[in-house]
Amino acid sequence: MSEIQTGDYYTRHFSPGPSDDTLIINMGPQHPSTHGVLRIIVELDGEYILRCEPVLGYVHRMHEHMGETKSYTQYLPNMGRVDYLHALAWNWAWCGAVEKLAGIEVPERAQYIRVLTTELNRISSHLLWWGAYILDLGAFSPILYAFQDREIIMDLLQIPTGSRLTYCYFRFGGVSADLSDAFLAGLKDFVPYLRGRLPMYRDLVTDNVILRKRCEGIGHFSPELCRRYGATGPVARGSGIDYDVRRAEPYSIYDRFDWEVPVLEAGDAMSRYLIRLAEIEQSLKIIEQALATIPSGDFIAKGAPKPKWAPPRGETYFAVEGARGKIGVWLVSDGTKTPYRVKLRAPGYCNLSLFAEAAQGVLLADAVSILGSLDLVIPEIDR
Amino acid sequence: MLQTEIIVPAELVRLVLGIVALAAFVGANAIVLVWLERKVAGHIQRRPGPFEVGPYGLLQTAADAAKLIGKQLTMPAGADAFLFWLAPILAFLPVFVLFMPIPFGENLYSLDMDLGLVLILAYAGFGVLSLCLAGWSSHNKWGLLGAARAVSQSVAYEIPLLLAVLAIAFMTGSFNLQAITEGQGPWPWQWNVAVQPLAFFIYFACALAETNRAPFDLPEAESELTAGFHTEYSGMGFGLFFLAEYANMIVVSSVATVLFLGGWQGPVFSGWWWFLAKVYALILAMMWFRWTYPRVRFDQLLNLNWKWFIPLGLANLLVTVAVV
Amino acid sequence: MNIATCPFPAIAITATDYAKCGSTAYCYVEPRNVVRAAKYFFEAGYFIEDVCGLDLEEGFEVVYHFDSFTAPGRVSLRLVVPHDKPVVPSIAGVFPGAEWHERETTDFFGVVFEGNPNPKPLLLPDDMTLHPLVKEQKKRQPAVNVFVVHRLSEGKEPTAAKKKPADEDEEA
Repeated sequence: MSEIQTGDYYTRHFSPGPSDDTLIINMGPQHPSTHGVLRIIVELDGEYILRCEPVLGYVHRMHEHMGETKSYTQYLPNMGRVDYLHALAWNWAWCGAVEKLAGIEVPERAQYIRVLTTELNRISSHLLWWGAYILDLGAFSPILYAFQDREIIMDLLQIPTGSRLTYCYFRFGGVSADLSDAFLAGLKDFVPYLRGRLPMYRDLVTDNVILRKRCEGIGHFSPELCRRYGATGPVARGSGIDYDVRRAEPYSIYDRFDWEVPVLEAGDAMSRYLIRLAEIEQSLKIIEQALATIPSGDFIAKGAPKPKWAPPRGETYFAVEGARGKIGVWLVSDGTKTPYRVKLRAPGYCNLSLFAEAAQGVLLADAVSILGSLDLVIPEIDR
Repeated sequence: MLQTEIIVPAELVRLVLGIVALAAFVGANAIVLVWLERKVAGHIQRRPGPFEVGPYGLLQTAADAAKLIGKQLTMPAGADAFLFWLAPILAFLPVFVLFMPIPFGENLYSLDMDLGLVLILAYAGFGVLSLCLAGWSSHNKWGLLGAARAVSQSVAYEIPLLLAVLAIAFMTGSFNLQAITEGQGPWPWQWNVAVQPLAFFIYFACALAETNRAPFDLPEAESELTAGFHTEYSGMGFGLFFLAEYANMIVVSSVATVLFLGGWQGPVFSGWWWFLAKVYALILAMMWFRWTYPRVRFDQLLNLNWKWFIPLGLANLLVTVAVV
Repeated sequence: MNIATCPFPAIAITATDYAKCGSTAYCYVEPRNVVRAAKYFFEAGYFIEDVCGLDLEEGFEVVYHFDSFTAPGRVSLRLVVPHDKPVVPSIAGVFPGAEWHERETTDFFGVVFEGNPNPKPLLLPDDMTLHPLVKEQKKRQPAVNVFVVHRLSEGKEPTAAKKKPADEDEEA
């Protein structure tokens, strides 16, 4: 018999544990429930996870270095590629950081446009997560229903942005195009439509006893765990931490709308699930109010930066609330046309870092459930 | 010339004809069922399902089969070649034996035997052996996990399945499937399901588990074990497991039809069409479950069995025996 | 927070304009005191946002951003290590979430975090010796060229008031 490759190369950094009847297994990078190219080295005792270690970097593109070689405007399209599911939040994070550094005022209408499109994008991100998470738990059909709704959002967002996934819509001082009447009318119809769909999702999926058994009490994160690892977004809010960047570090015009930050104390996969569904409703609420009060005016500031523009020197940190949590951009400028340093804080990166601790001692099937409940977008984690 | 008269027993003729007919039946049914499954899945998921290949996409399965047959058979380095290729064959072969005692119509059966039910239950055990061998010989850790799951699941669920079947056997006083059919009347309230609803429920749930259909598809569990026991199989190696799964679905539905739903008898025009209609109704229900429910977790699956199905099955059997 | 009441040894603490630079304070420490500083932030209820590197003429600046769930207000903890001996104690023992951020900084800058429980490349390949965010010597800027500290008290007039990191290097 030929010499068998035992896979030692890929697990060479993962020293075997004290017991010799455990199984060291590579979950990924082509595993169906790691949503792309995440690899997790797992040591299994039967089906129980003794310890595990995520291995990153399979779609690492060194966005931060690209930031140092491109001009401020040229770096805009990169943002849609960091997190392709909530691209507009990253658009906003980058534009917001540059605007904060250079002191650019964003016109009123542009603020509304940003809120409308970003919240709509958040809904589509949550919908996709919802379908994919149920898929992880073994039910195939809900993702198609989620895609049906998401399709409408993508059709809508295509009107102002011109793209369907990796949006590059925001500009320093506004957005690239005004909202058309078709978009506004479509959005007006979409809000009641999705509101009507959500009860169906609750009846068909959320209240299913098998789903509840797979989520309730699974993957308990204490608020302390979230704090030690810097977890934010629905992961932190599902653990009883009342923290939303839109409220904590108010930016743009979110303080004008009447909306709530959903928080649940349980800290399990089910609470993270319910938080995201509640956030869809809150986003709809914001959209509805923004639609009613959107003023007329410029969609981009007069005298907005030209492509070859250089901001003043200095540094700033700007954070927005993405679908996965706190998106932060640390920007250092030396006054030239290219940034001196760009640091992207990806929420999924911090959220995933607690997985190794949270997954100790759980069943393999529960690990899949926990992993899904973190809402991972691997390109965002690897950047 | 010496005249020799070859006497062929009528039973043998029936058996050979039966096996040939069953092979055709299983093959044709698998093709129809795969198409049906994809259509059902499509309609549950608000999409049309296959519709390009042939009228209503009917030839889609044939195209898939041609693709599977044309694919290269690969085997991982370090796998046990004999067991690796034995497993898919072992998964598919017993299916013919399983069909033999099933009475499709009044005279439509290939083997009339008093212990038909026992034969089916005995040969159904081969299924788990093939899954175990497939996972074990693949030299793949996911396969191994799938095999371990398959064994513990099948062994556990065979017990309540037997208990449910035994309740019917006690009631009828026979293991002969034809006799069990004839023990029931043509109308739904004369069927065994009316007398033994609990046994039917237990039987059907266990049948789902025994055929590894969702929500009990843990040996495959795509999102957990990539593909479980058949991770390493390509082409027809996978194809045979696939066929066996559909064939097993027909078997368990057929047995359920015979035991609980009055077999080939119907209120009007009793015959094999009634049998097929009932079998297909059960299969459609199985497909419906598959495309609707999430997967249960492994310990939940076993808890369900040991804490609910077995005690309930035992109680049901005791009550049945006491009444009989 | 100011230098007199600071519970850990700091070199300088500057209250900054949150609206302009996104931080309420810059807090410079010597590298050897960073764990004590992190412990203070941990006990004060902060969470770790990220650990960033920055290549300056004076050395590698490592910036830790801490924020609080209950009382938002980012504090940026900073230290400078020389290019030829970039060693910083790891704070992963205090904030386990810092482990990945530190490994990332090691990948990008070659800054070594002593005591990191898992000091392996995270985002870059194992055999990669290049640290992509280390700048060429001629492209490096001195700190005064990139930092404009928006002091809270002055507010309107930006002044280059960053503390000279040279003496930190001597002490470290």
